[in-house]
Amino acid sequence: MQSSQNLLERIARLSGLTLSEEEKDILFSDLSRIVPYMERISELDTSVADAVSDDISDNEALFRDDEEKAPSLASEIVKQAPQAKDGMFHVPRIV
Amino acid sequence: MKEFETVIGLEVHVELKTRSKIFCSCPTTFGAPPNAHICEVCAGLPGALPRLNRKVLDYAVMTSLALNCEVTRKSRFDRKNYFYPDLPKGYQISQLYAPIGRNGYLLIEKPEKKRIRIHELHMEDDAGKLIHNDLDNSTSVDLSRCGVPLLEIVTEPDFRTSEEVTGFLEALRTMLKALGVSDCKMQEGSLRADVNLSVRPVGEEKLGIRTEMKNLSSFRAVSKAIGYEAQRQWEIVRGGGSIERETRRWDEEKEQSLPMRKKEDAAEYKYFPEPDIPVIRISDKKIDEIRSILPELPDQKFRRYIEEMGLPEYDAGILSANKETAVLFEKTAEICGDPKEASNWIMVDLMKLLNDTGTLPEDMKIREASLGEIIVMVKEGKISRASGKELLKAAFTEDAVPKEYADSHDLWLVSDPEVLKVAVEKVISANEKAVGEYLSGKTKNFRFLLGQTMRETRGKADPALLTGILQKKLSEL
Amino acid sequence: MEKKEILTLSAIELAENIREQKVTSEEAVRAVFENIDEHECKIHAYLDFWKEESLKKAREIDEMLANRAYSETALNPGNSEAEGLADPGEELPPLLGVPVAVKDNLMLSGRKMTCGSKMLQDYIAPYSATCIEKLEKAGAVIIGKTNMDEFGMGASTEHSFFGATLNPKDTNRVPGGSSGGSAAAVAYGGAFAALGTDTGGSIRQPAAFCGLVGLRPTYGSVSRHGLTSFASSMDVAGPVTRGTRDAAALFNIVTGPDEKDQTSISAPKVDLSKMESYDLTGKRIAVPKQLISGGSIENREAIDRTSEFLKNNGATVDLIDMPLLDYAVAIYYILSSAEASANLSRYDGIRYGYRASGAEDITELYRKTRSEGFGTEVKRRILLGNYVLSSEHFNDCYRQAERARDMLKKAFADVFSKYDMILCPTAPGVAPLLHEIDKDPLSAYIADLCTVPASLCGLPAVSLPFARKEADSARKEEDTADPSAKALPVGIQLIGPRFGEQEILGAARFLEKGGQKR
Repeated sequence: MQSSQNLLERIARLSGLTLSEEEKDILFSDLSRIVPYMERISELDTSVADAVSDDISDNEALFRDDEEKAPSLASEIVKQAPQAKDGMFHVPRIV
Repeated sequence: MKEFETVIGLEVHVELKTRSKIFCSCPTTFGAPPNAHICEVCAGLPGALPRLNRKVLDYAVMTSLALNCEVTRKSRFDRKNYFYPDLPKGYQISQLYAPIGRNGYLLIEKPEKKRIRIHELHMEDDAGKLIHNDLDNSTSVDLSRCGVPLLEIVTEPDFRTSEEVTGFLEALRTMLKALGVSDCKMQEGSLRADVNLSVRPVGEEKLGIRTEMKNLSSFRAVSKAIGYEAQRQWEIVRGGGSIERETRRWDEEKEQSLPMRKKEDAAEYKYFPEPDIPVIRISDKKIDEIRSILPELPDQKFRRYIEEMGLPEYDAGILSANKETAVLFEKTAEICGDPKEASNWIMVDLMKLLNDTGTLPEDMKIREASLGEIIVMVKEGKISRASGKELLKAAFTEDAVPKEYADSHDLWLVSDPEVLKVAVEKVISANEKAVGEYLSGKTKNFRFLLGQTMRETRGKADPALLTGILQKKLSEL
Repeated sequence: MEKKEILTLSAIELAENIREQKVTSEEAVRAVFENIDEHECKIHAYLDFWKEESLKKAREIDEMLANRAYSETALNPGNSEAEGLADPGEELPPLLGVPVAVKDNLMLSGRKMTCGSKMLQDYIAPYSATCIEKLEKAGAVIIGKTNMDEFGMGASTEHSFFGATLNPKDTNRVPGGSSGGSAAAVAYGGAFAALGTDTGGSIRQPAAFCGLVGLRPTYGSVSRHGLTSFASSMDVAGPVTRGTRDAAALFNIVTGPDEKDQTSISAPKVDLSKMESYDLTGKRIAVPKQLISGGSIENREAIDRTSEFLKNNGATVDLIDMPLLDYAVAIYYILSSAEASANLSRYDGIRYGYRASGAEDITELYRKTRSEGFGTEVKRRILLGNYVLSSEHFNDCYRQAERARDMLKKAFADVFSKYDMILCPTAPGVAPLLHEIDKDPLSAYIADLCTVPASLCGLPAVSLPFARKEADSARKEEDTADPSAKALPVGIQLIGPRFGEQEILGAARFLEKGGQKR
């Protein structure tokens, strides 16, 4: 079980989350039931399937022409930043 | 004898020369004020979806074809997931599972002929810029560059020396510029190379553990970094140590590679197919279309210049190496009808002007037709070769129109026989002694008399015509 | 017209009355706000509404209509007043003056958009979603934003940071989710219609629990631009309405390809008059047995009786076997959580939204912000998504699910080569009691069995209320374990092939009329 707890911590790190002890207990017990249910699909024979399936044909028409537009939302976007300085988003040091 | 061998592969990032970003309409102009060129898409706002720029796809297919790659008929984007402040969505839109081009190669000529295999070529969006503030130990994020289109070209580990690497980068740069897909300015970051390097004892088949080096902003840095890193690794290996798989940063000032992060921490990118962009189908028709507009590539030009235009290999190499000199050469040869003469003028006179003024071929102002016109004027005897050089300089520095400049600077040779006859008669009567000696057999006086006549016409006489008239007049005496 | 009378009108009937100036838009807006004033404190369907601005907009519309009528009669003095109005009415936008609510994961420029999350508690949308713009262009008066499970993750609207929405049919129960706020608002008369979004059933299941019609359109037929992504390959916006005709009308308004969403496609609109004359004769309808086993008594009865009714009206109904459906929930949760885990990475406290205080470095900023800003269900999905995408599990989970999804699509294509549509329940039973779902997330996931297949395959599906009256009288009291459930709505679902909106809405309209007759 310890190794699974470690797995949960690793997954939490990948997720950009820190879990409290209480959350760890809840989520661990949930996921230890959910994950095996999901992993049942490994018993399916999927060799007949296409790896790349898509329904949208002739999508090229939707690709954009290379035309630039003056950005109209730029200042409004920066305005909503939790912390900004000199028009830039401000964050603590990067380790 | 060398005891170890260096094995190098490259990941080259090329910024594409499009007007707008890869997934939105924001401009790609270099040097915008902080966060001036951002919108809901490139700043990763909720509900905003990527909209692929068709030109990026065209450029990617074009480059794939030029690099002899197989073009993937059902290509797809993938999300590369990691948290970093310059990556607003928390993932980069890149290609892993079905990159646009695969299994190609590029032939290099320097330091010697070699085929460098291309593993793959894919499209992706660039990240933003981080500015570290030492004062309060914080970081500022500017997303204006975020979403500028990139091509990543990944080679096989086919290089053994830094000369091969720079030879490849030069050939690649020349090709990309000929295609018109990128400016390839290393100093502005539009061409960036990451170097994957490992060492092994000579004769060993197995590859050593490699490191990845980033932040190489010039060819010089690439070569220095390769030398440094190969030596560093070999010293560790020889001392019985082992190389750590890691990403290292090249410090240009210290001329050292320094560890950035251990690879195992960062390797988990959780790639999966990007659901916001449909599968890209590339038809045969599309490939034919793009192939048909593909410009002639430098190596094809190189061969044509030798085989069809009769240039020496050296000249052909230089003239075909970049788009501007090639265009100028071909136009000049067409106008003057003499490829060798055209090549001579460019190789000698134009190259000197480029060197003296420190101008890059792509920044040349001279109009394509000017040099051809100048050569014709010289060949037809309308101006002297010296005037031709003067004209070229004027055309090069101030984009002067040759005929107008010749008019305003009075460069035309006098080719009116009546005018020349008058001058000849004047010289003959003023130099009775010399003429007499000439007539009595002192033939070298002819040169003197010719010089005098030239002086009389202030150097503007058409030499061939003048020689004829002088000879005729003297024979009539 | 009296308030009571106004509130009995469907959205398109109201629009017609407003166009004909029998009712003013202001009266309609006042009527819904009277209901909001009365019920909202208890039901909590809305996260935000704006009464004064709505009334102002309504008055502008009324004034415009009055001026228009005046100029028409002035220009054509010979015409009778009725003719003068009927004519220009044709060119007026289809929902002119109708009060409509929209789910709070859709961007409406200048208004808060929270997605039911602390993460976006104070976020102001800087632009509008394409479907919202289309709704506004159609003349609708958007009166507010409705509550939802955080980022659309959940099936009860209990997972909202701002508190749960209750089911107006029984306030001890959930309204379903994640578009529970939209369904509850329409159900209590707090809006004439609403837009919801459906990833794994978030329009259809709350519609079923609240006795409404909910349409999940063909994937891509409604632009996702401005819809906050949950699972990009399945998200679609669609109507929650009182009747099938309103659903069709709203679909027609919001559908259409959009250059801002490259997965959007052009889909045929629904012809409402053809819908009215829909004929069941010769129609072939399939009921997959995997979707009816394990459901409640209410459900089985609904499907049995509906099958009977369809047969009596000339259709054939076959029970079919689709073994892959046993894996549908697993496939759905793997793929939707994987996509969600990436789609929610942008909430990092740097450019907008919640930001934790006191973070020393960037990694801590990410983790603290996200841990404090997201609720438990969202974290569960993000963790699940990261699990299935992590290198050890990618091939067995994500890759396998992607391939299984392709097989499921092919299985549905095969069914639709033989059948016109599929009939099945919308949910396993009636609306659960509050906090019932919370106890066991896995069971809650499994309860999505009937809605996720259409989501995975991009198919259109409509949920409509099963006519209960007859069923109630036919059923004995002791048949049901939960006596309070018998008065609650049960939804039945029709699933069609891609672009099959006309077909399933035609059949749904037929059932709706049949139900009214009984």
